[in-house]
Amino acid sequence: MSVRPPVTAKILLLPSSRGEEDASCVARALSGERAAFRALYDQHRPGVHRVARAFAALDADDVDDVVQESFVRAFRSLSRLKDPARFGPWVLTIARNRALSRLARRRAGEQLAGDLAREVEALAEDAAAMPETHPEAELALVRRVIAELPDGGEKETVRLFYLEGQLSAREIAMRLGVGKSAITMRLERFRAKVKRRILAEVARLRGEGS
Amino acid sequence: MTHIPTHLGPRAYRRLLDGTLEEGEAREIARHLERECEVCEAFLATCGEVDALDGQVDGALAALSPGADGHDLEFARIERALRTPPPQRRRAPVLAVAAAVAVAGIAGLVASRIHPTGGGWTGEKGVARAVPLRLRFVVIEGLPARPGVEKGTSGEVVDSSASLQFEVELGRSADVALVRVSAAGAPEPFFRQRLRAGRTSVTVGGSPAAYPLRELAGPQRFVAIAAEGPLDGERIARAAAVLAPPGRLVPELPGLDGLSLDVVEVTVR
Repeated sequence: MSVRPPVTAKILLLPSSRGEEDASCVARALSGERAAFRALYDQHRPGVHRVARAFAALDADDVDDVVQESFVRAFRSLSRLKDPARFGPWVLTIARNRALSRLARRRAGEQLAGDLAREVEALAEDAAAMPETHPEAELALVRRVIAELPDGGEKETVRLFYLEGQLSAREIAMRLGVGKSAITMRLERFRAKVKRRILAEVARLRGEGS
Repeated sequence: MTHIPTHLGPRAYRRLLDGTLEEGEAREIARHLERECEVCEAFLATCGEVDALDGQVDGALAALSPGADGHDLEFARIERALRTPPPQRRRAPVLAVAAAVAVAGIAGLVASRIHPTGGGWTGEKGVARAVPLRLRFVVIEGLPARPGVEKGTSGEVVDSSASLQFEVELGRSADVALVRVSAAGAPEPFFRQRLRAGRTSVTVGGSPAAYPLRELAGPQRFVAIAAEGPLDGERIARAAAVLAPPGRLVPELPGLDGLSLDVVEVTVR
């Protein structure tokens, strides 16, 4: 079964124009235009912030630090981004890496964190190697995954975190009266379902020679 | 012939992402992944390194609803960080700071959390009228004999034996007032000073100061108010009058015009 962009998919911004806009901003940022850095930050900060606050073990200050570090690293390495249209996925990847590194550092000291923290250059190459997909179709797919979840704690957690989007994982733990690690696990389990479905689409495109 | 499902493994996964997997094998994996597979989901949840698929997944998830917008203060911090060379040494984790405070006393906390900046920040978006402002706090318990310090989280329940130490962060220099407002009773301004850009812990007469919660009960709202120009007592009182909990704070409230606000709340038990 292939995933086609649905006609009624509600998206925040047309993905093709988003990628083009990012590519233009990256080019202008590389020429030193301050407003372009700001535009990249404004566009992608909500997603970066959401990645960081999905980790319930990170408190609000940790989340702020992850957001800041992610943009600093991305902006410092901008010239190494192979496909500027993929700035968004790239900075989100950096954010996840930063969050995990921070948690690893807390758990096991600097050594493990150093092992975990891949260089942004390597991540930039990864991003460029991915096939072109339809973000609006991916969004529809994510909505389907949510709809298919059985009623219960995981669905409620996903609804609060991703659909309502107001609470952090830590705040959801407090509201639902469950442990922080349980909330992180629920979100990670859901994310793995989404990952499987998106990877299926990547595999389908690869199978077509993309 | 019966189709034998092929679960994902590290090699196939890596080759799938970098585009070196043979097309037939990719099609087979695609068919397999389109069905529920707990084994593959467990692999994907724990397959180690963060990679480009993570970015793609997080991008799709981010599109589900609008997230928290950026703000001038944070962008200013990013710009400041970009202007300085990458640090040789990581910033000390706050928990380490807390541990140090337990040994060295509150003065250590203040010294470690003041991050003054050299010059004024010029990172305004358009013509910003309000001053970028952030209010944070730590909860200090066990004073005076064995002080213990925890980072405060807005909304938390705090024992009445504790005190709160506040830290203000500004995008540029401003007049700042801190005010406690509760559901009942008059607002209580307890700090007013001209502060420079960056992070400053609240001190009184040059000494670190913490706000004691004894004799308080129930929800308490602590508000930082900042103005680029003079912030006199009358203006503070006018603003504080509309800030009592549980009302929502919106910039359109009368008395708040031209002011920057940030709020933390605790419930005292």
